Order: sequence, then C-alpha cells, then structure tokens
Amino acid sequence: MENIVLKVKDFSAYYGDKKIVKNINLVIKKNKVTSIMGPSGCGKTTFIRCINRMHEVNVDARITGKIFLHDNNICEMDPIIVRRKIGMVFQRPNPFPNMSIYDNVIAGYKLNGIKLKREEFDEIVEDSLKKAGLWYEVKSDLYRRSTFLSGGQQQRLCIARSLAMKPDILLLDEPTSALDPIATKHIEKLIEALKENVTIIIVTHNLAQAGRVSDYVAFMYLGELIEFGKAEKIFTAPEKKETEKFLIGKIG
Amino acid sequence: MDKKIIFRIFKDKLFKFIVICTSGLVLIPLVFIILYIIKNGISVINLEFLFTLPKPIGEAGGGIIHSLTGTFILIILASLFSIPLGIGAGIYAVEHKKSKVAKIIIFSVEILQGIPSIVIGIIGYMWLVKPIGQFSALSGGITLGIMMLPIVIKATEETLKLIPFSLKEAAIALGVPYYKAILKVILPSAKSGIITGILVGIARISGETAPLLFTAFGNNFLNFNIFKPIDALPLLIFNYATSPYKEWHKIAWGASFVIVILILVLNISTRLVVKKWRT
Amino acid sequence: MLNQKLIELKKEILLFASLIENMVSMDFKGLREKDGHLLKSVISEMEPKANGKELEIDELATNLIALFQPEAKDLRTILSIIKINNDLERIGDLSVNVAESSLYLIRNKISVDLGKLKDIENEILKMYKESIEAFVNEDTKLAMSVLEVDSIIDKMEEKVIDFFINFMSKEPSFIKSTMHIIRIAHNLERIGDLCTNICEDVIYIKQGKIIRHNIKV
Repeated sequence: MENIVLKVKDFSAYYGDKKIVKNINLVIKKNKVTSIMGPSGCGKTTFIRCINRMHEVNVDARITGKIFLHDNNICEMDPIIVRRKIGMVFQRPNPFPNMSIYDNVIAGYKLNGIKLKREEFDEIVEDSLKKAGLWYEVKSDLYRRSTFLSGGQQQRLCIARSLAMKPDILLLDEPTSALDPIATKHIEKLIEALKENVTIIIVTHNLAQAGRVSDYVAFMYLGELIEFGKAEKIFTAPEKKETEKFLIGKIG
Repeated sequence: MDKKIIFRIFKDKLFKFIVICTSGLVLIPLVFIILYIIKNGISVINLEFLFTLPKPIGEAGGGIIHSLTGTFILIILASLFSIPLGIGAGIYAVEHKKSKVAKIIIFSVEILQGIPSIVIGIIGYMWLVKPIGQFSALSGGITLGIMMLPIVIKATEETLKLIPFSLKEAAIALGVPYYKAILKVILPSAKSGIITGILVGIARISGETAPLLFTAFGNNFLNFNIFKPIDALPLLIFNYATSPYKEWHKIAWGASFVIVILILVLNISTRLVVKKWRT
Repeated sequence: MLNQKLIELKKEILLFASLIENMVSMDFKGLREKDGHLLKSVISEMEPKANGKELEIDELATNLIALFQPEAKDLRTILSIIKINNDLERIGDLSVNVAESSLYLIRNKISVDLGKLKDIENEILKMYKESIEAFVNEDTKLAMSVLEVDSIIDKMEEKVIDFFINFMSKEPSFIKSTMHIIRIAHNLERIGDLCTNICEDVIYIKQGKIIRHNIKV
C-alpha cells in the first residue's frame, strides 16, 4: 500500500450559508501529483485553500468534516504549523517586493523569527533554488530585488520559498495560468522533478496540463467530487457521465 | 476635409493656450508672494538671527532661536502623538473594514479634517491647558497632533488599500501569524505612502498659528520643558508683525522666510521619498 | 515528458518486433532441422506472449494520446505504431500457421524438395528485418526498396504454388501435405504484405505521405 499523506473525510466548506464544497472523501498518495480539475466555480480552489487552512482568512468561511495530515487532524493543529507543512503557491507570482531573492527564499524563517546560522541559510537558499530550477539563473544575483525577474522566474522563486520550509505537501493553485507557454512548460517539467521530494496537489482548469503532469486526477463539479482515479484511466475511460462530458468539452 | 482639420488643429492650439494662460495666472500671485517674502526676509537672515535670543526693544540685533527650537519641539510632540495612533488606526480601518469601529474611524477622519484650526485650539485649551493649569508645549504639541492625526490615518489607509492582497496571502501561507504579516510585510511595503502622509502632516502643522494661541501661548525665552509655554515661528510672526516696532516687523519677515524654506524642504523631501521608494 | 514517453513506446514496439522476428526464424529453423519442439514453443509459448505484448503497447499508445495530445510527427508516429503493433501481431498469427503446417510435415516425415520454399523464407526474413530497420532509422529509401521487393516475392510465391498444384495433381496421395506446403507459402507471402504495410507507415511517419493502396508517391 503506497503511503498516504492526506486523508479527506466527509469534508464540506461553506461561505456563510452557501455550501461551496460538498462532502468530499479522498486520499492523496505520497510523492505523487494529484490534479484537481473541473469547470470554473466547481469549488476546487475553495477546497485546496482549506487544506492549508487559508480559508480562515475569510471571516465567513466555515468547514465541516476532517482532513488528516499523516493521521493528525489539521483542524486540531496550530494553523501556523499546518501552513509550514503544507505550502502553497498562488496563481499570480507574489514574491515579496521589498526583499532580495535570497531573503525571499528564507522569508518563511525570517518572518517567523526563526534564527539560523548564515551557512545554514546559505544552504537552504541554494538547495531550494536548485530544486525550483532557478539556482543557475540567479546565483550571481542573489542580493538583487526579486522584482527584476520575469514572471516564470518569479513563480519559481515562490516555489523555492515554499520548498525552503521543507513541506510535506505543496499546493499549487493554477500556478501557470498567469505565465506564457514557455514558462508554463518549465514549471510542468519542474513538477515532474519535484514530486520526488514533496507530494503535489495542483488545481488546474487546463485539461491538457492535468493530463501532462498528473499521476492521479480528481474531477469536481458543482462542489462535489465526481470521480477520482489514475490519470490514464480518467482520460481514456472515465466512469462517470459528468467526467466524460467535461473531458470532451460539453461542460465547463 | 482640409478645412475641418485646420479648424480642429486651431481649436486644439487655442485650448492649449488657454490652459497655459490660466496656469500662469494662478502661478503669478504665488510666485509674487514667495518673491516678496524672500525680498523682505532674506536681508535679515544671518547666523545671529538664527541662533540667538531676541534683544530688548530698542536694541538692534537678536534672533529667533527660541521660536525655531519651539517649532521643532512642537513638531516632535505632535508626531509622537499622531504617528503611532494614526498608523494604528489606519491599519485597523483597513484590516477590519467592515466593523463598526472602522467605520467610525473613517467618519471621524472626514469630520476632523473639516474643523477649523481655531476650534481645535479652543478644544485643546479646554482639555489640556485647563487641567494642567498653565499653557504648555505639551498641550500645543498634542493639539497640533490632533490636527495631524487625520492626515496620517488617511495616508496609512490609502496606502494600505493599494497593497495587493496577494502579499498578505503569501506571508500567511508561509505560516506567518496574522499581525506579524502586517508588521513585517505589509507596513514595509507601505513605507513610502505613510512617510509621505507624515511629511504632509508636518508641513500642515508647522504653519498653524491659531491653535497655538490657546495652548502653547508663546515664550520669549528658550524653553525645553514641555510643561511650560513655548514659542513657535507662526506665533512669533503673529506677535511681531502686529507690534508697532519696525525692527520687529523685519524679524517677522525673516521668520516668514524661514517658514517658507522649511515647508519647501518638507515638500522636496516628500517628493524624494516617493521617488526613492517607487522603484 | 512526451518525448520520454515516446521513447519508451518505441522501445516497447521494438521489443515486440524482435519477439516476432524470433517466431519467424524459429519457424524456418524448426522446419529445416525437423525440430518439433521449436515449432511447438512458437505456438504455445511465444504466441501468447505476443498477444500480451500487443495489448500492452495498445494501452500505452492510447494513454499517450489521451494524456499528451501529440501533434504532427509525434501524432503520426504514435498512430503508425498502433498500426505496426497490429501488423506485428498478425505476423505472429501467420507464423503460428506456418509452425502448425511445418509440424504436420515433420510428423508425417514429408521430405519433398522444399528448396523453393527456402528462397521465399530467406527473402521474407530479409524483408522483415529491413522493414524494422527502416522504422528504427526512419529510412524511407530502405522502406521504398522493400516495397519494390514485394512484387518479386509475390511472383515467387505464385511459382511455388503453381509447382505444387501441379505436383498435387500428379501425386494425389500427397494432397494433404502439399496443401500444407501451399499454406506455408501463402502465409509467408502474407507476412511479406504486412512488412510492406510497415514500410508504408515508415514513409507516413517521416514524410506525412500516405501511399497505401498503391497510390504513387
């Protein structure tokens, strides 16, 4: 039995009275890429934001059900710790503009007041930037402001920043929708390499991308989890009608 | 076809001309005032003027150092009062913008900005001078601070609103606690806007006379005790310009010149701050 | 990603091709050396393996198309591999037929002069190897030369069949065995046809031109 990293049980999410995510049950396997796909408004972004408790930023948000990270209920854990173990990269690259590339990568440590020796920080920076495929492009410019980087490079910097916290899971919320095709390709290649180090959950509305990068696919529609399975199976012979309709373009 | 185009070009040029003329018209009195002040004031300026106390009536010479230091002390007191309070209120108004308190803050800011400075001076007299028992730098400083407060709150609020939510999101997603995210990520990004607001506020209060009449009151001597009355440049100008002595009129011109320079420096600093942190 | 998967797919089809080549060579060897065991292993061991391989490659190719939406040359390559996969499996079936008929001949100790068959056998093996080589190297020249050889093989087969039909009419007691010899010849010729299919696919992959059904290039 492959390692299970995340277990979602009877999970629902509400904004006020509106039920956005309806009763999801699924399991995320370690070191695999799981895509959550579906038409706009199906609840996939809301769902993924609950996994690292980002929904709590919104006052109206409420959840029921349980999510277990390695057998620990994330709602019973300190949200700060949850977010360090489950990192997130957003749709629009958002490196901290007032910080250098170096400081951006270790921002998670610095902003939390975690003090390490200079050599330890150097190592973390190099390791994270290498894993994000950005090291060789910026290693001579580490102390420059991050705003000088291109969109694709900024996004890889954000990935490095999340990786620096050594998370168990990396959540990617439509990470390439603001990028050009070449930058998108880089990130997709990166995802392939990254899964050796970290489990990846990616939300995408781009079918072709889901096909290219995923090991497992979850299809959501109108807040519900319609189907979940291996990518080859879902893309060649899905079991549910709605999945089929979505894949051939009839919905969404 | 040609005729229409020529007419359009003419209309265009005419409009440009009118705009330039009206701008010129507005500039003329402004330039005139400044030149007049410079003409009358610059002859008085010398080291003695800037660094000594006034001489008794009849004697030539003397200076305005008591007013200069007074103005600076009042500015510092006003800043100490309004900056922490103002930034804090501004942050609260943006972070909890749907709450009643935030709405009260924003409403109060609008009202405070419209109250005449002399009214604020009277309030300062009733709340600060009477309880203490005498006029003081402290009451003058706080009164000026009350005038500076809405400017700082507004500047903080407007700047914070401009900062994209994604920045806060990024910090929170890294496991940074909420208020640390505000203090260490958002505020540094808002630096230039807030500092601009502070400089604008200082420029505003450095020329205020009316509130000081009821609170700081004035002093002919150097004073560093905030519980005692203190002088300030606008107060000096008021007293000396309305006096019958010619020497004192000259000193008033000199002080006016100093104020104009002070405000000029503040405005240029504002511009530099914005430029530096825009990149 | 797609490139990597394509390379894997090509590797699989080549493994399949060499399995089929073994089947065909073992047919010839078995008949030549009168070794029944070789022929039996073709029928009972290698053929099931071949069927399994065909299903595997089919699934792999389907997944590739579903997940990666290949275009242009990649698309032509994958579609052609699916066809070649099919053709290889049929060659496997045909070689089983040859093995069965060869087994009959061996068991009944028929030693008719099979010299003419041998010529066809050699040509077919050559055709097959060259077809696969043309695929590996995307060598359209080689593919074209194989296409031209096919008509020669057809003629050879015609001759052999004529000869043995004649023989049959003169020696009625040998009808059953002769039928098997004719069956072997016929199946070998069919193998040749399938090799030409493979070569046509090679040309399609490389140039995007379809030359099936004798449409001239």
